[in-house]
Amino acid sequence: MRHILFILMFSSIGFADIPNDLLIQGNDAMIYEKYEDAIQTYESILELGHEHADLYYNLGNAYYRLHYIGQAIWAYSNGIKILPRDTDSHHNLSVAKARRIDRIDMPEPFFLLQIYRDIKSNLTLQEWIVFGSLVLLFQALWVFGLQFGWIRGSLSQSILTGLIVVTLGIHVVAADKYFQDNRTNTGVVIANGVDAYSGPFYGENTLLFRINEGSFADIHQTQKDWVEIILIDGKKGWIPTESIRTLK
Amino acid sequence: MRILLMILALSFTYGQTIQISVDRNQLTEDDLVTLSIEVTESKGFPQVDMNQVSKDFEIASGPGQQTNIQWINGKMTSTKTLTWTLSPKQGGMLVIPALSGTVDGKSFRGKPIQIQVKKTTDSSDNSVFIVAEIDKEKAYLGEQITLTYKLYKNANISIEPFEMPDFPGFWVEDLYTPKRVQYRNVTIQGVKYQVANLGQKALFPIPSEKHVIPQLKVKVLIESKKKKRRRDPFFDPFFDSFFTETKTKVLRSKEKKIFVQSFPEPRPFDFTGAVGSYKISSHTDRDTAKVNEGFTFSISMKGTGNLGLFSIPEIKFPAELEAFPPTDKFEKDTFRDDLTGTQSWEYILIPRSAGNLTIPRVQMSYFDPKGGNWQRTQTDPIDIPILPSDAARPNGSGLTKREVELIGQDIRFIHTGPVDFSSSTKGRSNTAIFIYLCSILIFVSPTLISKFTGYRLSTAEGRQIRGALRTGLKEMKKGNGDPFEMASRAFYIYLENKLILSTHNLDPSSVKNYLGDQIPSESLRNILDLLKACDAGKYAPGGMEREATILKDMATVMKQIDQNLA
Repeated sequence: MRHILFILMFSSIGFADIPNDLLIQGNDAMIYEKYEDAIQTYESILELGHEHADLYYNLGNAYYRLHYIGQAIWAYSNGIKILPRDTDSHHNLSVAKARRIDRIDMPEPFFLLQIYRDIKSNLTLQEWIVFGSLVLLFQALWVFGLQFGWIRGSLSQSILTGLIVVTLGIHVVAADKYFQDNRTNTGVVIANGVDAYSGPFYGENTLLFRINEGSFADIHQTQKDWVEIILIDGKKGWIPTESIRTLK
Repeated sequence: MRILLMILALSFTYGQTIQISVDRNQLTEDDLVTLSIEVTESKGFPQVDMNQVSKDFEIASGPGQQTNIQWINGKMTSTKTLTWTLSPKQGGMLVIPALSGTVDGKSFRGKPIQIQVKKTTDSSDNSVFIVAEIDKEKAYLGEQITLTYKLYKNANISIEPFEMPDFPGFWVEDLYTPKRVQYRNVTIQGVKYQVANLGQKALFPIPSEKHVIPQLKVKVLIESKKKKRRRDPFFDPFFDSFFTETKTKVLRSKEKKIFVQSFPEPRPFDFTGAVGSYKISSHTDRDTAKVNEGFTFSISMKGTGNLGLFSIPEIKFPAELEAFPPTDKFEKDTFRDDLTGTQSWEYILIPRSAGNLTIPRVQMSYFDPKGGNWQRTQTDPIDIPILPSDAARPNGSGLTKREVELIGQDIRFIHTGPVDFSSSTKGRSNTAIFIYLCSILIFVSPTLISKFTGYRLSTAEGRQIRGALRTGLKEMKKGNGDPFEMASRAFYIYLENKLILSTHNLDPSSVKNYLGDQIPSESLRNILDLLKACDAGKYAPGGMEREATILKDMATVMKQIDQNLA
């Protein structure tokens, strides 16, 4: 209810400044350690349809201070999605992750795959596309120079070949990232002691496992108030919708 | 000598009587009295609770059981007797209270017996006595008092096994317990005695209501000298032992009170109860250590005093060190009267992060009873560099090391800078689209430019045409075969590249066809002459005079034609 109040309050001031004013108000609440107020303010900005890495970062801090580890991890992860190279977000995410109860660990991948993933996660999809377009532009200029004879020599041909490979590579990474973002629907468990059942209702279904807040899970399908999740170690089960929050 | 004092003869039923008697009712403090309960015509022994006599007497031995059966005039009389040896606890008029008990399931009750006990005075009997020697009567809590029980004798005695008393209010360390009583000679006030050490204890007063060193009771058999009998050459001295009389006595040392003094105030904060004189030292078993590799930190305390009654103050290790509870070792130095020894503690410490660590100083205050003041002993702090670990710790517990460390950290503060919510992803997409369009435009532009301006682009063909002269000249420098052959071949290759022909197998007539309308007729004539000269040089003898210059001429002509063709 308070979110709506905020929205109503600020919609009269002027649309352009609402998210910024709310953000400042939320930051003030954070400084005075009124974390619940801060959370409501930040969440109202999100409900208005605005998002920013700093907004998610601050929201994560507010949740963390109130020991909502799952929500904090959700917020930090969203912030990192927007701004992958923000060291503060990474730091706070690792702090929050350290306080999780469940630690579902994947085996260490092959090192080349790990390097590829690190490189891929270093830029957002948009940045990859911009990066790819810039390399393509450079390649176009190079060809232009070659055709008009300004660039000569056998080395220039090798460079051109290299440029083609790089351009293709970047676009492959961008495509991979695009499909990864669209294919998976990842969420963060935000409640503690969530029981995962074999079907989307209580009753005869068997209790399969119990997970705690902060764990990542892929949302496989949705059924009324239930979602089917797949944990990264492969466990599958149905949990209530309100116990998981989907990443943006 | 046996005085039978019949106190009670109760008749329960026909023929059954009970007698409770003592063998004497006048004795000294160190004498013993025998209490007997005699029952006639009973099936079992009487059951008596002897706690009733424990107020004034101590049971030195007993009960002894004895059964007598007598036949008198064909009539059988059976008597069952229980005997106790009692030792008086104090002098004066003592009372054995009315004993009650049961025999064959029937209860009986006797009458009290009065016994007069004379106090032993120092002068009464000096032949055997026990002394409790203490080195001090005033002591601080925890200060050692050395207690020695000594037996003095100038008669032949034998000692029965005895037990050391309990020492309430003291913590006791045994200093000396004789395996066999050994005597040495001393002279006290002109009287020769033999003295034996019965045991030595180190007593440390602990907080208690009273501190009293209790009596030590030892039962001895004393051979009392008989009056000198007439000298008998046959029996004396060999059979002397037949004629000595033994007397049982209970020897007691005197109780001694210890006055316990309190410590002077204020007490130091690091006082944990140590009284005496101590020195502590500490060391580690190595100078450097690695992360997650344990090393040993030892503290040893050497000194004299109430070792074992206290511990060192708790050591506050740095948070980077994981400390396990120490092992405690105590080595007693047995060659001293004072309780002396070394107590050592060993800690296993495991550093959890690299860097320079300092193990803090260990300090402890103790009370020095000799000087009556507080003293402090301390070790030096130890600096130990911790090197990074060789290998990462296996995360067997499911917690990675990094995560464990992070628990000690906190999240970073919020970002308070101004935020531009309008810089959405849409703007970036537009940039990308713009750049893509530019790239495509640039890709296409050369084709368009060449189409509209006629500029020859740097294609492979163009490069071939431009490089034709170079290729031709290079061909002439190659090899050292027939110069005519080389000259004509070089020109045909040049022409092939220059005019993009399919082959370089040409002859002068085809050259004329290709070049006829492209170069001036003079140049054409020159080249045809040259080519014909080459053919002549190749296929016919003669023409030697041109051989030297043919290559040079060809190069000149080729350059001329190239200029014409450009």
